[in-house]
Amino acid sequence: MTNPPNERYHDLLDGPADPTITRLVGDLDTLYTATAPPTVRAALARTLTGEGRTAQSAPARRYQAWRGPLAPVAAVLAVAALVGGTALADRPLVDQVFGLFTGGADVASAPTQGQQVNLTQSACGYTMTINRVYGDANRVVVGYTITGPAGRTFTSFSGMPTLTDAWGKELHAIVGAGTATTSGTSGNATVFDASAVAATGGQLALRLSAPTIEAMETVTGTAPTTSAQPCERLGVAAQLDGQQIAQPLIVTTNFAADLTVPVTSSVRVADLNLTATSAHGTTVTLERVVVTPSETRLIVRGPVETELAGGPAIAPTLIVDGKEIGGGSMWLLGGGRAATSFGANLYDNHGDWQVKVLTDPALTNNYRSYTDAVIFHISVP
Amino acid sequence: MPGKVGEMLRALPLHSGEELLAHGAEAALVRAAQDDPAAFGALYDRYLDRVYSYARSRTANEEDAADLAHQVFQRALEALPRYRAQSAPFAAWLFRIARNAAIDRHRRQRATVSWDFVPEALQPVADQDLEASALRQEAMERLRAAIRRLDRDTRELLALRFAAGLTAAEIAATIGKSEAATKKRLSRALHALKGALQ
Repeated sequence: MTNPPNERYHDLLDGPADPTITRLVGDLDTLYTATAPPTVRAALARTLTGEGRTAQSAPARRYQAWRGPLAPVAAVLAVAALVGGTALADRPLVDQVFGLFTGGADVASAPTQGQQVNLTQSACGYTMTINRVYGDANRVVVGYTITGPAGRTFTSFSGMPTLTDAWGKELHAIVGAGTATTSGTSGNATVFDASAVAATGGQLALRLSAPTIEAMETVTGTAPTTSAQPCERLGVAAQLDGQQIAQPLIVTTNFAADLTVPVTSSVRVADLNLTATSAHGTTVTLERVVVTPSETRLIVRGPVETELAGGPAIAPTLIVDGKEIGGGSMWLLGGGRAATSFGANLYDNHGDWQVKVLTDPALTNNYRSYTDAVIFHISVP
Repeated sequence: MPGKVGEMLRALPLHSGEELLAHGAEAALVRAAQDDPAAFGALYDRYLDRVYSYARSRTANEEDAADLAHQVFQRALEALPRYRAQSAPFAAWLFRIARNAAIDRHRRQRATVSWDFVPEALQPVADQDLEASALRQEAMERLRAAIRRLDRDTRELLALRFAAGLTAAEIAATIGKSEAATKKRLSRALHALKGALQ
């Protein structure tokens, strides 16, 4: 078992007893250790089996699926708890994951989101079933299960699907999630950015490809696993006290499927082009807000590419009905523009919205803060 | 048996309280991996959680964190034959690689900016009072916001202490400062956060 915080952080707590500091140390421990590692074992296995990237190569933009608790879905999970209180464990595997990305507030009724597909392919004893697809103006979500060969025990599977449109353009994978295996099957979902291709209210013809999947098999003993098939490549087994306990595998599957994804007409767009200047002289333009059941996206123009005091020069936040929406992340679009994405489902919220863009960061006693802000009061039709 | 492997790996002594006991075993693992790269898997499993947590604190999303963690282990595997235990504890050596990899990555990826480098804490969904869960989430969100406003060096210290699980001495060896100065900076960081949250 892991030691309690007061033992692990005795060096930080050796001064006069301060309950606030003790609690703070516990919270920091919770915060920084909340993320579960992904199946990078398999990524390492790829290296050791001769397919790894070199250290100098460009970082992969390929999606890596995850096991266990996931940081990007944490906020949505919290919403699920608050809104639905749903016993996720009682729901089908794919729905457990799928609902997290197709509208947080409606997660309890996630099966009503998207369209059932049920396309199944098998190779090498592994079966991938695409169960459900969902599309809106911001995101395409694909939910699928993976099942391993009978008679063997797996703790996890990772599909790493790519999605391309009819012209071969690949949709950027934003994030993915998966469940642990239950009865040999794991449920997974991958979220793709649909902003460049979405046909609101129409249908998208997309091709999903999963040339390989990664698996973690439970093994015992000191000898290498003997169950590997020609389509399976073995990574370095995890060991405990000289005994193998887990064997990463990369399985060549060459799965591919053509999908027709219905894109919901549920989208609220506000083309605003509102400009404001902070007291310090920083000018920010709020160009556009796109609200769908799965995400709210802000498009902002300003000094987004300028880094000051250890962070971006501006930081957009979203306040709805007086409450700040957490979990935003920002990426650059070029030309001084940036997209900021909030995963909360705000589609049915027509209340008072504010976009508060923090500006003009400064350092004071090693403490970074934004010293100014511009606020846009907006209405999204 | 979902989760069993993870539980077993986490049961390995990782933190400072067991350092004395673990030190000999770790040195043996390092020597074994230097002799035979195939034995690197044991070190990998030993440090996976900590390297990933650190990588997550230095990247904008989970995909990048996984990629960074991958690079760290790959670089460590390549550099391991040159590692000498006398120069630095293995953890400090490994996280020096991690730190440099994060810096290199940041330089390469200036097209991607995120201020949201503090992972969300995952609270149990079931078996928890909903109101308490909401308050807890709110408190953690305030803490995340306070960390985001710290300067980069202080955030780095917190990441090395809490995500990487390094002791003050190991952090000092990682960043090239004295242990006393590192302890002092950590203490200042805690009090800055305390002040910000009050």
